[in-house]
Amino acid sequence: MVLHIFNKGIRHRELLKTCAELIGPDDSLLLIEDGVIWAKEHKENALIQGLLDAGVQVHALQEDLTARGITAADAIATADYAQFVELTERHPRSVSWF
Amino acid sequence: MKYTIVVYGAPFSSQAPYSACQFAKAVLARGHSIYRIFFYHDGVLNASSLSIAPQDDAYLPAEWATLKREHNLDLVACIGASVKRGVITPSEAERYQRSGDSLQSEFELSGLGQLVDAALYSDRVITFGAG
Repeated sequence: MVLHIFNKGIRHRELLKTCAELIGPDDSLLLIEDGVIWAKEHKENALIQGLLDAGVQVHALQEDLTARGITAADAIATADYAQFVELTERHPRSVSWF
Repeated sequence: MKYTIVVYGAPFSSQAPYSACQFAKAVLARGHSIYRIFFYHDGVLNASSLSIAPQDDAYLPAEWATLKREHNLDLVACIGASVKRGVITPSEAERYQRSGDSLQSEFELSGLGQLVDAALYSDRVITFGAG
């Protein structure tokens, strides 16, 4: 039960790829800051789709989505800061990718 | 639960300190405590007393100071990272023969041992990375 926190944008595909390879089925991914771009539905997000297909919960921080004018895909759960804290309560460990 | 928050980014060049500050407020609002906030790498610039924000701009060094006063938080900047970036106490200024000091009074400089201690004694360690 690891919460992976990813904050890098579209130029950091390799980092997201490494992150996605290491995410276990019980882990969750939280997209924050520039990382919320990966929550958008677009042809580049096969990595995220792969995680969703594997049953991984993917979340994106609403405030960062709003700040960038991005609407998250339906399969992605949006979270406010209180829900971010709740995610850290549920996951005993976290890894920040940056 | 006891939380420790680690901040790697500087104000004005990274979103990390803003995110960390919002997260810290949410942690406290949910009834948890914060064991320590550790500032590392460029994050130590949050502890500078010499930076000046444009008017009406959010100013994180002041936000941290307010949080510290309201919740008696332990704000620690890594001493190695701080000295390299010109964030120094009066005693460091004297030791390195600099003309002034630059650490906000709400922060303290200490070693990486404080991060290890925080990892040992906190239930959660959440890192806000930059760079």
